[in-house]
Amino acid sequence: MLKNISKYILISLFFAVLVIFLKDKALAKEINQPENQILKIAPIILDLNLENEKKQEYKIKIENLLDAPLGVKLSLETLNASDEITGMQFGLPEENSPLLSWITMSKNEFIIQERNSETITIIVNVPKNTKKGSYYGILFATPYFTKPLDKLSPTVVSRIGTLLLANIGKPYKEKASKMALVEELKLENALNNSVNKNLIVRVKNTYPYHLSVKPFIEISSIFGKEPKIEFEDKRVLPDKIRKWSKTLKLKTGIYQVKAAISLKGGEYIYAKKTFVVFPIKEFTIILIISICLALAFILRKRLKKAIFILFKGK
Amino acid sequence: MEHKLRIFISLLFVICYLLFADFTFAENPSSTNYKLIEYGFGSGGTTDSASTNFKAFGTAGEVEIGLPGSANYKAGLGLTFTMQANIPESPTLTTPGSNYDRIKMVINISGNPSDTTYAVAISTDNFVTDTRYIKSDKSIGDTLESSDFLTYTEWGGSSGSFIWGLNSGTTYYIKVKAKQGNFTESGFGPSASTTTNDPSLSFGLDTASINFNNLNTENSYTDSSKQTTITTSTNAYNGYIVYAKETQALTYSDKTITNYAGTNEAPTSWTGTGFGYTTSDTSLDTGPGLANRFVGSKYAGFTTDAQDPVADHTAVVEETAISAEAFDISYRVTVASDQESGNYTNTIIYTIVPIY
Repeated sequence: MLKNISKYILISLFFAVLVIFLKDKALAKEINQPENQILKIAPIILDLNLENEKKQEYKIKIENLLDAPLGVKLSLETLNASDEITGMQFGLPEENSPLLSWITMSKNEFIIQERNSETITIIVNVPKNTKKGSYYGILFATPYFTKPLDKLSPTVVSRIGTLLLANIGKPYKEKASKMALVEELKLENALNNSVNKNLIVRVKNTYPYHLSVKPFIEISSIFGKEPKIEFEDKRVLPDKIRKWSKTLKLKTGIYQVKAAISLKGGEYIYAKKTFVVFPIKEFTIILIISICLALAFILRKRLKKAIFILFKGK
Repeated sequence: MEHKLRIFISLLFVICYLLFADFTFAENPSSTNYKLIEYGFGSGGTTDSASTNFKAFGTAGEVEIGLPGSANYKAGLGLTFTMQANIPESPTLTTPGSNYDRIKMVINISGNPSDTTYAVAISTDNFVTDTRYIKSDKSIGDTLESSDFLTYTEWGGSSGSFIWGLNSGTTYYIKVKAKQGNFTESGFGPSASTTTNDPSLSFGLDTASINFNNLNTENSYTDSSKQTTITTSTNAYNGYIVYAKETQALTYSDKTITNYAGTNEAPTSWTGTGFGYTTSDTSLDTGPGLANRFVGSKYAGFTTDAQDPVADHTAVVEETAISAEAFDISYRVTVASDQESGNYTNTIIYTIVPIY
């Protein structure tokens, strides 16, 4: 009797293993390399408001927009933001971003059926005594195929990065002037002939948390005020500088430029500068011509005589 | 003695007068069925004496009785109430670019003149426990100050303006009040609501592999006819960047085709041999190189250790979300006639990230 039961268990186990094995095979067969690849991810920017010793969960929805199943692999990488050029670097060693070691995912390799979606859970567990401030990372979703890609020609792969922007602890209240500073307020080409002048504003974050920054510019001259310029808002990460620029058509004159840089919530930092717009090259040419004409007038008798000698020969 | 008696009687009369006066005048006018709870006397005057530049404001009478009111509006008493600006009706709220961190708001002036200023309150629970205000920079703050009252024009007029710095996937309720000079501030009008979206991005490639032609004397050992189209749809406010890199140079056995000498920072018109790319994004301005640097079929070689920007969208995405924006990355491979025959392969990785 006992022998029979063991036999049944053994047969059941064999079939279970067979089913699992065949199921995997079937899935693998389903995700051959398609001709194209297209994924949709939301949210693509994830603001994580974290606290010490607290586990928090966030959801990310990944959608397969193809008419064929697609395998998706998730991976975490460091995010290092460059300054003004809006460039980003990723894939640096993990020690540059402790945030990555606090994250676990509900799954990181799965198949999404055609025109379907998967929601994954990001679990962030912040260790005790973590220093307050901002931490960053990036979560990449890469389509993958169980069948090896064509080894006879170059292959092309896409990756979509979800930005993970985390704050540990609630940002404390601070005077706006201690949170950021106007690194530069400049009018390029002020002394060039071109009517187009390039107004540049650069703002540095001096606060340990990332800031949302939006500059408002007022330009006035003795002829009145130019229309107020409202720039787009950008996030500025701690210790980083972001740049805003706009081409303006300004005529010769003296202009006062006032920059009110909003740090959100009606908090501003201010900068003021006066610029002289003057076509110095054009002016130099006019000055030289004027001096020549004046000299010609003063020395007109000698000049007349010289011309006379030049043409008549005596 | 008689003098003291007179004073006593006078005092008695005064006390009686005061007592009775209280009874007499405290009683409001009433009939069997009705009673005037509150009333006043009109002082006479005018409500419509105006010249081109000035207007006299008077009242021929005040709201006399009670405090009639509804959920959002009420009639008050006195000249101060009569002078108040009209209570603005609910504003129009939209997210035209599938916005996730901002809402477009158009104020309803409700008949108020052009010099009226408006203040805006915002809440995530229809003002039950959460009431905050829109500051002069059009972001959310905890307090309302006089500088946060802006004119209809400053609130963007009929085009409206965006309230920024909001949370994604959240329903916001917004209501407006108005004032036109001192002592004219109205109450808040009815609220309107809308829900912000989630920031999303879809990215696709039309190819999974590149099959170059056989390189031989007939094609001068060159193929520049292959390309990958990258397509992006997103509502990311600051746009996106697409970076490219390769896993290795085109390799066959231990032989390689070198990467083209031009760089992403300084691409060049094609000369010599190698494997390179050019982009159809004529306004590419991410990276250390000049903006529009690929214009005129300039080529750069792929790199393995850096991420080179090959397409971007750096203009603000506010009124309309980016929908199926496509750029072509065109490849060129040219080899020397003595390049060893074989199938040269590598993997090219296109990485897209939203700009924060």
